[in-house]
Amino acid sequence: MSKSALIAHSRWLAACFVAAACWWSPSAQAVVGTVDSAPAATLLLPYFETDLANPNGPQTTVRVSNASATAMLLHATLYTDLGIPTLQFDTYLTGYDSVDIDMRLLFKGIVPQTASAGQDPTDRISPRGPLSQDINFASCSGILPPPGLPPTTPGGLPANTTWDAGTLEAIRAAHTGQASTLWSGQCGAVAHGDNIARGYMTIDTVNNCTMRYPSDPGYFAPNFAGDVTYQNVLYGTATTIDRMQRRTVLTENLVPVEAWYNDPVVSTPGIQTFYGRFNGNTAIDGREALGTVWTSRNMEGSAYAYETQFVVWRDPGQAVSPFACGGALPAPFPLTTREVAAFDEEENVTFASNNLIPYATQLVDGASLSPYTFGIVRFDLGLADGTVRQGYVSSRILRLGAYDAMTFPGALLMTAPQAQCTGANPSPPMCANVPPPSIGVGRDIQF
Amino acid sequence: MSSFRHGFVVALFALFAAFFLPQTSHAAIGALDDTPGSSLLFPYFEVDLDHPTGRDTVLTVQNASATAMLAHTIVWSDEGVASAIFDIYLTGYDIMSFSMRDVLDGSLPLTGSDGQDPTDTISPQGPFSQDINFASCSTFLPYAPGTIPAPAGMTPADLRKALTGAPTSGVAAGMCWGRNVGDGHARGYVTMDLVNRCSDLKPGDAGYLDSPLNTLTSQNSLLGSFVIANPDTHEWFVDNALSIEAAYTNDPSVTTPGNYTFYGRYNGWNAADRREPLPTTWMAQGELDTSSLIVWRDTKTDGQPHACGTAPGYYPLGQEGFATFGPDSSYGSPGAGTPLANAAQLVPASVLGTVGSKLGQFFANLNASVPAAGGNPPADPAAAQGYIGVMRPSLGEMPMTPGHRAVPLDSALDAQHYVPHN
Repeated sequence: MSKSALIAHSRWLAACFVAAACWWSPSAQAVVGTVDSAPAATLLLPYFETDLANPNGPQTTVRVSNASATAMLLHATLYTDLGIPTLQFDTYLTGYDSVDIDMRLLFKGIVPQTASAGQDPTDRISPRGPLSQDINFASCSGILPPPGLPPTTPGGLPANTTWDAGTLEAIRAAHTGQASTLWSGQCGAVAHGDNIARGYMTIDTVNNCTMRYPSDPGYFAPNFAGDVTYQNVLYGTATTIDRMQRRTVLTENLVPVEAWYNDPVVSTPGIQTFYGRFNGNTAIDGREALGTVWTSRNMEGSAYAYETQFVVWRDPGQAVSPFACGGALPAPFPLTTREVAAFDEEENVTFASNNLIPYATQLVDGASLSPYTFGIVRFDLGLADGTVRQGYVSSRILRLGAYDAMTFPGALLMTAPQAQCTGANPSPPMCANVPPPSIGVGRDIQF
Repeated sequence: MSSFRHGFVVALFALFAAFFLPQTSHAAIGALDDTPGSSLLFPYFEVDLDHPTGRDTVLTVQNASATAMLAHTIVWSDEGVASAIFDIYLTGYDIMSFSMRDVLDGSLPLTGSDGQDPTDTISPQGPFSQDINFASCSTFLPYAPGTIPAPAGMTPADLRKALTGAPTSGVAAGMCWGRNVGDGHARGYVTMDLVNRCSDLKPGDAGYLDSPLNTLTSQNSLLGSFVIANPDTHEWFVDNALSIEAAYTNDPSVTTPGNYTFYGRYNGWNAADRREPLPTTWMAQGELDTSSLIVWRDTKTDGQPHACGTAPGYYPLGQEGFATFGPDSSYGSPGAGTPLANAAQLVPASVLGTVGSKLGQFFANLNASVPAAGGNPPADPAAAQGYIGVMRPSLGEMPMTPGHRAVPLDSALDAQHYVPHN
């Protein structure tokens, strides 16, 4: 940078009275109300598997990047496959920074090593690049960097972990459907009978380190008083590798959930928002809801021996409580579906049962939904009684044993707010700003 | 920082945000979302013509509605010259997959509307699907094997020449339509538009994009996907086709003459197509030394065959800048020159620049003023829409190549002319 440019730049910096705003690089236009590819304030990893016993079993690694020059604080929350939060941690990103979250290491108590400027004055933990902001989040003192730096032996795992051994065991039990001391010996996940931890993860931009879950009071609050921010700057990918059973590797983009502070599409009470189940649908989280009606590809069999698995994430619609192990699943599970229709390439259609996607997140065998070799499956992830629920769908098309796999993001046909508002007569005030769905695309497949 | 001061800073940030951050749009126009569109862009295809089991590209188009649709399909060279034109009829909820290798052999998707297919043997009608007659298709559908219906005089052999940069023999004899990379691979991109009649027209021809709409419709019902595969090397890149929504209301963002619309370069930028443009600026994760980028760009000109050995009018497409970052936010050396000079290409990610670590993220601002475009689009002559996908190398011992779409940072409706730099 030339001297004159440096002087001009310094004057510009001095003129700015908001530190974060001065470093703001023009990032994505937040178009809330549709699931679009763009940096977001919340990222959803809709499904993960981590084999806790076998490192060659399915493993998931997440990479999150900051698309802006502004330093960001992230709050990650893990949930069981029934949508019960189990652990949370904070991660700091300087401008244009990236961080890897290895789920296998997470379940060993090892979280990404990051620290804001106050905890990392020598810039060795979270180095700052020349174009990157690096600021101090004082609330992170004593929290960042997480325990475990440095390892006691070169190349070894840290002696100290973020959670003690007992808590780690409880977290592992929680995600594998076993009795967990997190909940006084109750269960919080589906018991699949294996040692594979399942669930999903959310990552939110926050303005302070926090021990809260999104379900806790104070995580969201009006007038920026809560933990979360509305900075649409994050994007990421998840890579899933299975060396043992399926012999597959695939990469998918994390699902972006954009936020806006006062856009009526995401701030009108009654309109579904992403975290609405934690705030009584008051829309205080300001985050767009995902879709209700989706469509995605399927391929089964054929000369290439394809197998399709659908990743299906669903909003339970309410906070979920732990339950007595071996007993009935807690409310609202099992979730029903309003309609799942499989089409082949000649438009023959088969309707699947409404009880095949019962959990908050799951892999669904494509053959259980579609009898066809090639085609698409159309999902209405609302409940059988017509209740609108948001969700997300993608396809994993595997060629078992050949490490060939394709992932198709689902195509969105109708957002949850659109489903809430379509057909409502008279249209309630909360629908005033909800854009209509595409012409010819309705919740029902009949024309 | 005290909690009070931190709260004050946050409050001031909120005030700043209200005035200076990009405003939201209630409509999905201007957002790159996987929802049904009125046009689809398959931004890149490649076919190894010399090896039947080599690289090929499979396209899939889906009708998301119960209403029968007509998808006007154009195969463009990697220099943006319309090389093959044909129609695909879709009943309600229809899905059609085809390989570009087959297209280049003259085996076009076999479809027929109700009038051409009264016994429902070509385009069967499902129980919830509409099947209607497009009378205009009586001289088009179904296509005879070994034929390319348009442009007039095109043959499969000439199509292969056109897409490999060799001079064609029949139509535009002796002229070149695309790049001659010298490897026998056919390259280009494909668009599909919802239309109300079969035709041999292309964008730029009278009656295709004219206002009021003569041929193009705004029904937002198409979805698509594409797979670039090399079975020999276990390479795969999969992405949804770019869904380009049209405004069926008078959304001023895509109906105001002078604004950037997807087909603006073919209608004098009068917004007659009513279609949203793509983003101009992208960011992606990947391996900076081994990833490849699939890049589609708007030439902002109406491409025509040209004398071989000469460059098309728009060439080379420049950019406003690149940036590369390591995982620790380290900043690398941005790439120079015009490495993304054509309408469609597959290039090493390293053309965007270098950085001292393997993994990281890269930034590309594809905005460019194109002299041959003559100061267009009027709303922002420096804006240029595009697409970037990341094809990644195998991971360790895995022979796979998982890929993903880059993340857009704007829309050409409001292009961001910004490049991170020292």
